[in-house]
Amino acid sequence: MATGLDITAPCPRVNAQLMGEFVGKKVRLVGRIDAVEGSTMRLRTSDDGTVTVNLQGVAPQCQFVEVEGVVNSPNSLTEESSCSLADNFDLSNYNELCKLANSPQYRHMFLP
Amino acid sequence: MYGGGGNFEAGASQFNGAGFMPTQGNAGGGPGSSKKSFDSKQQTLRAVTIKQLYDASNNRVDDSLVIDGKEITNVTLVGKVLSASESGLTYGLIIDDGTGTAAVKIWISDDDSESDRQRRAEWRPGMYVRVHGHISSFGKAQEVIAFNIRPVLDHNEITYHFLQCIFQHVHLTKGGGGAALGAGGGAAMGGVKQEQAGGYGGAPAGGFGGPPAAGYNPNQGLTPIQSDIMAFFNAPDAQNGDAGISIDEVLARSGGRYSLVQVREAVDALQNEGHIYSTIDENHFKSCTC
Repeated sequence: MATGLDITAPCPRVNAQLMGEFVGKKVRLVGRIDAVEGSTMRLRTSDDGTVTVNLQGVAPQCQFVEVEGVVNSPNSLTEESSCSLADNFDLSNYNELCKLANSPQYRHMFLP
Repeated sequence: MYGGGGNFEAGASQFNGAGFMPTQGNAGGGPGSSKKSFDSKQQTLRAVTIKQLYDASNNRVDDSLVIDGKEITNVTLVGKVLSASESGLTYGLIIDDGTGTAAVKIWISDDDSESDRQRRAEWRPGMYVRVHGHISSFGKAQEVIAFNIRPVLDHNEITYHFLQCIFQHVHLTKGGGGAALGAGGGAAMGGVKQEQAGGYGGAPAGGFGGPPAAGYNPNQGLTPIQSDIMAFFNAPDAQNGDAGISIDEVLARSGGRYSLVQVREAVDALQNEGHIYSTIDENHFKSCTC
């Protein structure tokens, strides 16, 4: 178990546009649940993209969700865990954060 | 701005010849750079990412943690709980904010009540929490000793927290900070910067003022003549005598650069502003610096 501070396994916050840079890696993706069909969930991301999420468990019963998972392709993700963001979440603000956190200027505050 | 004990600490440091004045010398750099010395005694609360904390603890000098050139005391983090465990007197969480993971510990008080236990039960894995605390460097493991943990209910707080981290970083590196002060930040930073220049720069340099004239720059309310004349009052021999120096003496030292009237005016202004005071009569003045 990790003790103290550990940055060896970061989980960057991304939007659909940034997914392509993280294929094969773990990310955090936030979006609005568009549809759930069986074990896949269609997520409308903060930058208005569509990402298919392969669910491990059941889909959360709320509007907004944060999914942690591994990027399969620029528009699909395999869920490892997810967290409900309930029904009140500003996606456009969050999108600005995604852009800033991955920008060359501020990336060092978030990623190794 | 005058209130904190830290200010007086900074003022006192000039008696040791410590690094207060040199920073004033780099034209206009005063506000930001002199602030550094206040920080040692000032309690701050910084919004940080775990990555920032990690970098700071890996580059620590002595016992202080520094982020963006400013020592940090208290921090606030937002992250998702990965695991929780109770061990006797403390309750431990591992939180993950996407940039890394951190061990957070909170002391369980002696009079632990049912409501305290209920509160802790809310910090369960998968939940986002807001932590306020400070960094412990006990032993090798860096952990956050929390004095408050609460669940995040409105998840916009996650966005807010990280944007606040970025804002504080920009503010300290570009807006109010030392070296980059001249370069300036964005338009939004301008207002804050101005305010600090007045508050920090003006007061310590004018009020406590160091010996060299370099500390008096026109931006801090003195005209070129006044700062020139202030330098005569700050000369070591002028400071050593009980009577200070007379107006005639100032006139002589200025080597004919200024008329008696100009010197009179400047001396009056310096006296009114509290930089000098009259001693044995109305013609002798001494610097308030010593």
